[in-house]
Amino acid sequence: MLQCEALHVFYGHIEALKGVSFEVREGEIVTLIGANGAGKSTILKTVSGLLRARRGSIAYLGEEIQRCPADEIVRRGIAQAPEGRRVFPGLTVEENLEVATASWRRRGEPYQAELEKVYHLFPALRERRRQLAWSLSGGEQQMLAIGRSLMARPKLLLLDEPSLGLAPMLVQQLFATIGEINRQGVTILLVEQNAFMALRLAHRGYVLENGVITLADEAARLVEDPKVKAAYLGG
Amino acid sequence: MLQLVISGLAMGSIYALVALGFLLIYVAVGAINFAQGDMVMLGAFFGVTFATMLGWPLWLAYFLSMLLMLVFGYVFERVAYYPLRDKPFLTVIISTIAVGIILRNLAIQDWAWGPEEFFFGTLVSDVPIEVGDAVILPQHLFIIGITVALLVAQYLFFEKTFLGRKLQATAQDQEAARLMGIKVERMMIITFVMSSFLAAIAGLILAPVLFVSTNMGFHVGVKAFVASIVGGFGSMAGAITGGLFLGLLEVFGAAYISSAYKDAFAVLIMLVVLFVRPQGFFGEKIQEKV
Repeated sequence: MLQCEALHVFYGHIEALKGVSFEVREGEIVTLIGANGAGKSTILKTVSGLLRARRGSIAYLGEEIQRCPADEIVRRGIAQAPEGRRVFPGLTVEENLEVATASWRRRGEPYQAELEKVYHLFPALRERRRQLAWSLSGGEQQMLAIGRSLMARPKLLLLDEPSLGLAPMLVQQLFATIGEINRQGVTILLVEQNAFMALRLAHRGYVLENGVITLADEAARLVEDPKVKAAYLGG
Repeated sequence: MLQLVISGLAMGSIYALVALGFLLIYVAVGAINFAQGDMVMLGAFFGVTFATMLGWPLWLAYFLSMLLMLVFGYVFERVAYYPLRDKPFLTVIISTIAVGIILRNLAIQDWAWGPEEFFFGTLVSDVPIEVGDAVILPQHLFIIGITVALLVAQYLFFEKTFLGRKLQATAQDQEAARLMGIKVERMMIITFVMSSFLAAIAGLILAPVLFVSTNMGFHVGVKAFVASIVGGFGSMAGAITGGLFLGLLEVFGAAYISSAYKDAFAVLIMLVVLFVRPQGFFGEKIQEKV
């Protein structure tokens, strides 16, 4: 579904991605794990069109999307819930969700079905739908960020550190919901520092170090890998 | 007394409209458009060209002037903002100052409008209304009425329409807006066109009260900037109250103290506010952007 070949991405003179290649197949949950600053978010930003690779290619459903503007990439079916949630603080929960239909919805067209799906996945959001987004708790904001990206009707969902700053209980729930979203037919590329949780949920995983992919395997095998255990799973 | 209140509110309405123009662009791109006042001047001069110079009907002059200012807003965004969109906000501010200077200096050329002052007619009656011992200009009431109508329209647009909410989202977090599939470039153009439209209206309804000259916009711009600071930069309530407050202050100051110091009151009150309450009536404390 998504094939990235030899991506080189720079911030000024600093090379953040040094030839990264990976793929995501339809229906999968794939996780990218790695330390802070390894380049995980850079990969997602490049796929979403916020950053441009200097070299390399990104093929989505067989078509090159490297030159597409960000809104076109969303229109084609790749949505992202960015790191740090980034909900629109001055809009209500429901307005946040509505705004994310921008890629496909003409003015006046209904979006009730999408809204119901999101409220079904995250019942807490329905209760808070008239509340401004800044007033939500961290967990609720993360639900809103993911729910919002689902409003774009994605085929491929990019999740950047959804567990960041959440209590372990909430992380459990959230990951269960991510599994549910995947079972409803959305392919998922998950970036996480919480490697243990991510590998338990995902089908396959990649380990990223300093802008280079150092390991790629089935998630079940990565969990058992001694190097992964030592570096990311606390021994 | 009533007379002073009405004319103060009328001037204040103009300041509020221009302050709103500042606000739209400030919220969207984080920079102040110092050409906003000169855009008021441009709108008024377009009106003068069609109505006073060519003698066309006033409604047509209004219409064409607003139309031209919509085009101007688009060109302004493409030329003065778009190429600089990834630069620090200071660069954008300097670019808008340059546009203001260029507009003023083009307008004063002999082949353009020159240094004279021009008359511009009113859409309403120019016969003053007498209420008790107060004399009220219909144009003043017209200014207040149009301003209220514009404020209500703008509120409804931002709060009740899909496009309005997309604009809000873009202003609150541009990158997140991009990720949600919002065409951020288009939102920027719409923002600039809207603030140019506000400037056109401010110019057209102000023109019958003042004479139209190349410096009128600059003065109005400075006052509106003061009003923004007094009211609190970045908030709509601040722009409106700041504008009205300044308008009333000027008129009452001129009537009871001295009209020679009319412009000094504005600067004086700004200094007082900056010392006592730097965030203004409604604003949050301005923090340096990292």
